Amino acid sequence: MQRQRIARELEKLASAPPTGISVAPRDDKLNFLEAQMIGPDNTPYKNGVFKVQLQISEKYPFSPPIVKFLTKVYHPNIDDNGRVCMDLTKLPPKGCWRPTVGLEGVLIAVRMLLESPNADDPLMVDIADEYNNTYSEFVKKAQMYTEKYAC
Amino acid sequence: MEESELELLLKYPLLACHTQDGAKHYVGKILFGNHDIDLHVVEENVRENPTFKLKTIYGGSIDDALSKITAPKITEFVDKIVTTLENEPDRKPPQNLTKAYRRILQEYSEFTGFHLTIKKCQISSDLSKIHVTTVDEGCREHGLDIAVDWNETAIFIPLGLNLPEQVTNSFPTNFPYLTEIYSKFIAAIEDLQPFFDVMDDLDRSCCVLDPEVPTRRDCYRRIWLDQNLSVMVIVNLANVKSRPELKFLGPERVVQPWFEKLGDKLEDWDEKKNFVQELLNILGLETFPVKPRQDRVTLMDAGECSICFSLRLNDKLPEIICENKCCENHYHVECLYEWLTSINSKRMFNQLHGQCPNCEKKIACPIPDLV
Repeated sequence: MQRQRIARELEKLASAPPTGISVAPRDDKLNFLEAQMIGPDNTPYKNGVFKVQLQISEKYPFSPPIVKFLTKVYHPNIDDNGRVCMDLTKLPPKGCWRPTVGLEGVLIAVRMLLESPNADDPLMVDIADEYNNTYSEFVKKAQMYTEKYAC
Repeated sequence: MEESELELLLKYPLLACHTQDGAKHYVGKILFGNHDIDLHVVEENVRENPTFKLKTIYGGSIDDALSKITAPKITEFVDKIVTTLENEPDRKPPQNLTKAYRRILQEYSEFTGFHLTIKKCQISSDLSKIHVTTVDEGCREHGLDIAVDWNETAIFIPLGLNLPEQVTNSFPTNFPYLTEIYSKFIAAIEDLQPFFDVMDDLDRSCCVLDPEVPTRRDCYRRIWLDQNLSVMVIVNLANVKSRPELKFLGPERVVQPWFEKLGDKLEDWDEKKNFVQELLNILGLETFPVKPRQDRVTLMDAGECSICFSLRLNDKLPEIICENKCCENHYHVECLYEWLTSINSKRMFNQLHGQCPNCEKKIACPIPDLV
């Protein structure tokens, strides 16, 4: 049952990929997916290519995929190990994952997070403070990270 | 004619007097600044003494001050109203825009007559927006929207230029003359001819994934190479014919061989030759691959389970249909049961109660063993 669903999702993602996103399985087993995201325009991540890994548990789609950035990112909601803090990838009642969200929904949400960080619910408190108080400083550092790690 | 009426006529010729229900009404316009504004005053005779009441409401704190005015004669009463209005610091006489209107119309007619490159030109009826279309050397149409700002003297503001960011960033935000903004626009388009040529050429010869609908603003194309493999081509605006920035998108194992192949050929790029041909050369391709047409555009077909995306599960069809008319998603009993248990939904008798994973309205699911 799980294979069928993931295969369908990948087929759709391959033939009509969402803007700035590409995704494919790492190998024949479908438990790890590799995605690449192009940093959205009008953000300090512009022109960067960010590698994101989706780990799919045996319980997918009943439990959400685990999202991890393999590329270093300077972002209030992404920590040093690439872990991402997002409601969509947590089960209720804490989060709002539902089986109908799917891989595409998660990937689009992750890219949206690059576009508009959620500094009110940060994983990296220092970066969030910087984002709120000295935005230009944040932009400078995020751009530096993008150039160093994502280009 | 009474003396007071004559005096009023001479000083405020746009006020007319008529009697209604035994009271005299003065209705019309008075001059304030260089503009006519409304005025309505009622004269009441209390024991032979005329008293005047202002009926017009001008808004703001001024109305309070105006209501306190008294005068023995209508002319003096109106005089006092005008002085009070003039002394109010926040109340500037409304602007007279006739001059500005005349200027923009004159400029617009000269402008449309002078430039031969204009294909179409429109001005909105309130004269606040102008739309110009021009055709470039490559027979491409370009539209320019201009907003007209009336404050003080008319200025022209370009709106949402459909040109690359680097170009629009160096564009002034406003122009004193219509001709100036258009000339600048035409010059930018002329400079960008090689860029437009390259982009059009790319759009014709390969399968573009991003942007979905390319515009003149976009300097990049994401090109389909294979299932799960695409390449971002970012054109260098400063030197369009130079080697573009290339970024492969796809799983590592698929990208690696392309990357190695590319590494050997990077230096072969020749700026003097055709851009698309050079791109094919360094990618080691004869032509760009064509994406097969058997696309899956929808995740599910009608009637399939919204959780497992299949029709039959252990030979059973999806039995549960969400009762919300706008949703009506289908679910297998097993699938919905597993989801509802994984989020600890309430169990009542032989049913689980929870929310539809799609629309979040109430949904109930029988416990599979009992089905």
